[in-house]
Amino acid sequence: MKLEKVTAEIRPRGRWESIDLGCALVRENYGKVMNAWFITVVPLWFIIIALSQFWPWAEGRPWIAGFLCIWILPLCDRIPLFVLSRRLFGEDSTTRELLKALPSMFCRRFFITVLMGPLNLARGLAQPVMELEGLKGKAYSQRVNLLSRNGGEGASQAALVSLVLVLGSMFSMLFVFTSVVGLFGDSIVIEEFWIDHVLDSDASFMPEPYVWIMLGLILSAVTLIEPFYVGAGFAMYINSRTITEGWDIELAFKRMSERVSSVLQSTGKSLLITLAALLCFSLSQTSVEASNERLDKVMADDDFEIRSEIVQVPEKDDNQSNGSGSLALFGALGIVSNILFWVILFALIIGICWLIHTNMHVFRGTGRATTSSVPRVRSVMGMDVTPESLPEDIVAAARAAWDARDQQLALSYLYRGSISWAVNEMAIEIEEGDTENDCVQRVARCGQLVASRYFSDLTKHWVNLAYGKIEPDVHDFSSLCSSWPFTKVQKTEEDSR
Amino acid sequence: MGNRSEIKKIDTLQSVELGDGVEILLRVAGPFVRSMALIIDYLIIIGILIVLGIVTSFIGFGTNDNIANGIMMISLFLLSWGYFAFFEGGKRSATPGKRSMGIRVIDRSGNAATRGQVFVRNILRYVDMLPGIPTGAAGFFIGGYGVGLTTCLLSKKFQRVGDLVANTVVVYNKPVDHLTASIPPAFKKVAPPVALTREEQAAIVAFRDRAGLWSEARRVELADHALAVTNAQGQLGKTRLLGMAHWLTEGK
Repeated sequence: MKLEKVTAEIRPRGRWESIDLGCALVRENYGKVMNAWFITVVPLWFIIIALSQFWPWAEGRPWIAGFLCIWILPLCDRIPLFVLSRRLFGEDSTTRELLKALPSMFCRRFFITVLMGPLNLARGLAQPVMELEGLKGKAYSQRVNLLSRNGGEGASQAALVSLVLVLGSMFSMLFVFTSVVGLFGDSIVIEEFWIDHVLDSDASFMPEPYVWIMLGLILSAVTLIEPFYVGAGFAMYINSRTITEGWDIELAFKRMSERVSSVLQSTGKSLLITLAALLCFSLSQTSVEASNERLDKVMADDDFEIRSEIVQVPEKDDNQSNGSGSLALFGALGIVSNILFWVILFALIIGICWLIHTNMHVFRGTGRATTSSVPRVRSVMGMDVTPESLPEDIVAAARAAWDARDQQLALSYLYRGSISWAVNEMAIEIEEGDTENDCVQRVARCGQLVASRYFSDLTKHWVNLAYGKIEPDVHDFSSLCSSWPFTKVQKTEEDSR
Repeated sequence: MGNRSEIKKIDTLQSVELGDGVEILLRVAGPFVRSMALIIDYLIIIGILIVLGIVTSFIGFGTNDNIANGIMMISLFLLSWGYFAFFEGGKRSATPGKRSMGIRVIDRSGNAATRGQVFVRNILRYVDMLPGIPTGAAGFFIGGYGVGLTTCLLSKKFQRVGDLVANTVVVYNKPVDHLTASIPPAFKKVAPPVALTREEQAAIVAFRDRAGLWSEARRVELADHALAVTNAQGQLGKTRLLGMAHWLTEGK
């Protein structure tokens, strides 16, 4: 055993920290450990399962096989231990070495190990004593006692935790297994199985195939976890030997000796050079020169060279070095919001330009919008007032409707026609939400006396009819028709006459 | 020093470089101790639930059964989603189970974990539980912690998925109390022939402090390894080494 070649950091650790070191050790060498496990332990399990087929009672076979597979686990533990103990000191164990060592490995303390089985909770710590130190009998038990008092206190706790981990990973695999079977197979089968055979079954045993499946899951869980348990025990062993034998101090002293002797050697050499120089020249001047030379030599060493490095750390790097991944997200968000800001700014500028352009009259000082630019309302009080929606000759249409005894339609022709005229021809600003009274006031405000008088008269009749269901007289209606002032044709004809 | 850094040795310490170029070492806690803490926490939760079940069943006798059920459901929800986050977000940043095992949750940089980080790592606890079954009636998720165990065993800092996402690690809280047993000190102070590095000084002092654990033969054997410094074999070397330890601790 060469302590200098150790691949793990040797120092006295706490109870759980040494277990963690074992986990790290196994993690670094997991492939090798698994390799050894698969060529030795797994075939052994298969042999046991094959042999269990000779058991006369079929339902008992998986139970016997499972019991035996679990019971020989302390023997199986020796394989990961073999690999790990060599890896700790930087050696690689070949498959041939492993197979060669296998018989003696299994034979050592075979009966006691088989007798105790996995019930010996402290076996993680005890196995290395047996395997690596080859102690027997009283010396062995004394050694185990000593180690378990000094740094090996966690052995039984580690065994319990690894049991829990085995169960946990077994259930994990069971869930995966059942969901995979549920995906690709018949999920009802599983439910039936659980309900009939587990939850309320009369049979004292689960049916055989299910027990085989459970056995397979347990053994795979053990395969995954057991190396870590062995590694934990081995690391505890190493830790307690570190404490009881001062391994860390031995290593530190060896390193110190190496360094100090090299330092002393170089000082010795330089002393010799100085002496030689003194002898050769025997002049104080030269000795000064020699010491200057030596000074230069020393000053030329790398350690005295002043290196300065100016590192400019940009702001962004500072953010990233905070190490949070979400900052990258914030950076992306920042870019997006930046783009958004400029888009909104441009939209605003363009919008303002457009507003200025459309309201140019305000700046020109004319103070009035051109008639063409004011959009005309298309409907007032829910009535369509566009000229297109009205008949050509409104009065004739109204009379026809009156004759057809549809007084409402007749009056509505007149009313809509008059509002349409007011909006489109007289350019009165009637809005969509205006009431009848608003319309009357707006028309009156425009200053055309005849039109406004007629419009208020018409509105009165219209309101009576629309809200009060009071029909106008024939006389009134004919007077409304005859005095209809809003006719372009008439107007132009009159104008031309 | 150079030959030490050549080969990176397997260790559970994780170095973190702080802003000023100072390096600190985090003693990261591994899957075994964390599982132990988790087992304790779940035992506490189950204990609380049993007590609550008894209390609410008394309430259920007197009043409507639904009230008892409701209280049970709410407390189940709070315990399953809030227990870990509440304690880890607190001052000690450790659940009772973690506290009893002497571990706690911190940020990967060594700072205290923020509440947000704690929240994230505990929301993702359900991912770590994952191969599992939701028990619809109880509103409880039973998982085998398969994902958590796998990532914890495989990642270098023993982080589960929640830790990896929230950027946290679980570290040991208390310093290790090493076993010490010193032997009677040397009468004479001996100055070391050359300047010793910090590690070498610590090793010499530790030799004196732990010498009582070893047999005399082992002490001499160890002292022989420091031959270059003591310049003497056997008993004399050991005595000189103890004198140097005396010189180093008691002053020059």
